[in-house]
Amino acid sequence: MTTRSITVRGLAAAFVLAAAVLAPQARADDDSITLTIKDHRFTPEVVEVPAGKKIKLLVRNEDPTPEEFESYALNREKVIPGGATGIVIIGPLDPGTYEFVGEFNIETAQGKIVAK
Amino acid sequence: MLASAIVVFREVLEAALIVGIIMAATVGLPRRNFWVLAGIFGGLAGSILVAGFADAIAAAASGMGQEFLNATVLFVAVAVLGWSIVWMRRHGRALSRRAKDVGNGVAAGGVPAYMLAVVIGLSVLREGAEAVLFLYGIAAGQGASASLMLLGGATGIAAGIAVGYLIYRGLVRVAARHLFGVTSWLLAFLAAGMASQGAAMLVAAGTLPPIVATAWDTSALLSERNMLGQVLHTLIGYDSHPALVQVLFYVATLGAIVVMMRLADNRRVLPSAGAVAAVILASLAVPATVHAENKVYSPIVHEGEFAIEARGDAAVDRGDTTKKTQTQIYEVEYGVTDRWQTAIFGELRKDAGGPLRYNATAWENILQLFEQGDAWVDSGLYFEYKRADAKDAPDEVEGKLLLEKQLGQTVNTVNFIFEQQVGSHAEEDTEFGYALRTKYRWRPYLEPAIEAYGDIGEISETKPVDEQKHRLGPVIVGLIPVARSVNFYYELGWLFGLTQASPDHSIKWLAELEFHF
Repeated sequence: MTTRSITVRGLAAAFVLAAAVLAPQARADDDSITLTIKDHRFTPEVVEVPAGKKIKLLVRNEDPTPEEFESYALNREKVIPGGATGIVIIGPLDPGTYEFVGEFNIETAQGKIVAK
Repeated sequence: MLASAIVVFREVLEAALIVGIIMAATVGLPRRNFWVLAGIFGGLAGSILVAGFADAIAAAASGMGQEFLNATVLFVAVAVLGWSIVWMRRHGRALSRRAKDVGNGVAAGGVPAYMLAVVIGLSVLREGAEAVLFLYGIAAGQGASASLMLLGGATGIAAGIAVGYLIYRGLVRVAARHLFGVTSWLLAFLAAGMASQGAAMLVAAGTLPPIVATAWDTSALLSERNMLGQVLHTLIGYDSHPALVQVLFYVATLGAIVVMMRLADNRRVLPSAGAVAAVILASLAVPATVHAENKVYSPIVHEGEFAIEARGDAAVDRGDTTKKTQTQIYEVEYGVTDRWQTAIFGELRKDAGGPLRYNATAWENILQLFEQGDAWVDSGLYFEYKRADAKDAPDEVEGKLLLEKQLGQTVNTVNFIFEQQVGSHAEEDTEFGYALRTKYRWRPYLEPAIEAYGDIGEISETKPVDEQKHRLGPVIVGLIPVARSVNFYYELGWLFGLTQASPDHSIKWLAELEFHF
């Protein structure tokens, strides 16, 4: 019984500590960029972002069908239902080009992020 | 006349094949012939009824009544067949003994024989309805040609039955010695084929997505329209251009039946060998340990992703049988939201010296805490409730803290594992373990990694290092696209034991099919 209560207390303390460490730090200078999907194409198809900064991509899907924002280079994949907006957080990125696709319409939905 | 003979022959042949196989599988079952005949006549009566209401059925369910009826008939037949196979497996020995000793022990077989009548009835119903409709259409026509075509139909029926009978004789003779083994496999393939056809009906009705409309196309090589193709279609469910969902139904049905067959075999052994029970009891008495973990969980979940996963872990120490353990897990996962993934899995386990047996069923959940990349390290929580299959074994609750950090091209993942037994015979203390992985993102299809797994023991009183289990080794993982929105994911690794209590070498493997809807 005592060992169990110690365990429980230890776990509770661990979670409080974890919450403090793991939670994202809200920062005013997070950049957000809107990316629109329409007719299974991204607009803009080339997104320029500053290197070395965390970027919030707001992916707005104006098609009625779902789309999956996918990028192996960025290590991100996110399903965005038709008519919805999904958030994809990327970076800080090294300067370079990072390709992404809409996995459900890979022939047309292609784009790249250029970090400078 | 020839044309009508062939049309009817095709329909009758399918039913006759099924009846033939079932009869071969049930040689020696008391009152078998009675139940088979009951099935055939029940099915025929049903066919005539269905044919009579053909128009009404076709119009039902917005024009999809025919498909739904067929699918229902097929799936009921699959369920009954599966049940029958397991029953025969469990009582197979008693049955074959009785076959040699005719007139002995009549009482036992009543219930399954009745179920076989249901399977036969359903098969005859499905094929028969089409034959009856066809013949009725001819009979309703006029003139001398109609009677000629009816004669053709009768020829077709006779030929179909004759072929079915020949197959039955052949099966009984060829497979007499290994009858139960062979025929239960035949029935398993038959059931899998029916499940695949049932899925095809639901795809046609628009209720099931085909996932991939044509998984492959071998119609140029072997069409179901030729004789061999049709026989294979009936026997093992051959389809020259199946939808992927049909293939999945096929594999799932076959897999489920095979697992049940294995379990039935094991159960048959259990009571005769009290030693097995003693081994199980002994393994319960051994201090519990965090069971061999073999997967590192990422905190990231994907909405709308549906996956079927098989994974396992096997110790391959040569000579030392005390460490020859094995775990297999079969799992179905679904990403309900972009923060929550839920899964159900079944676990098979082989303890040292024991047989591979069904160990537990579990419900697994992953909660992703924040948007990926938002915090310095991505985090998630994992909760699992594992229900032990054996009555006197404790259940388990497992919690994990999942952490992941991308550094350059590497992704580093840490799982802290807490496990608590609950229920009867439960250990009081919480056990602690870990799973780690560092992988290098080289190419999507091949990412080299190093994984480590450990089992420290009770939190309040950790074990001496010698008794702890620590394993470490190279692993490759990768993702290969199979079709639009379908990916194959694998992990394959070799783990070295680092302490006395760990197996010196073990293999871990994982194969997963992922679907996005």
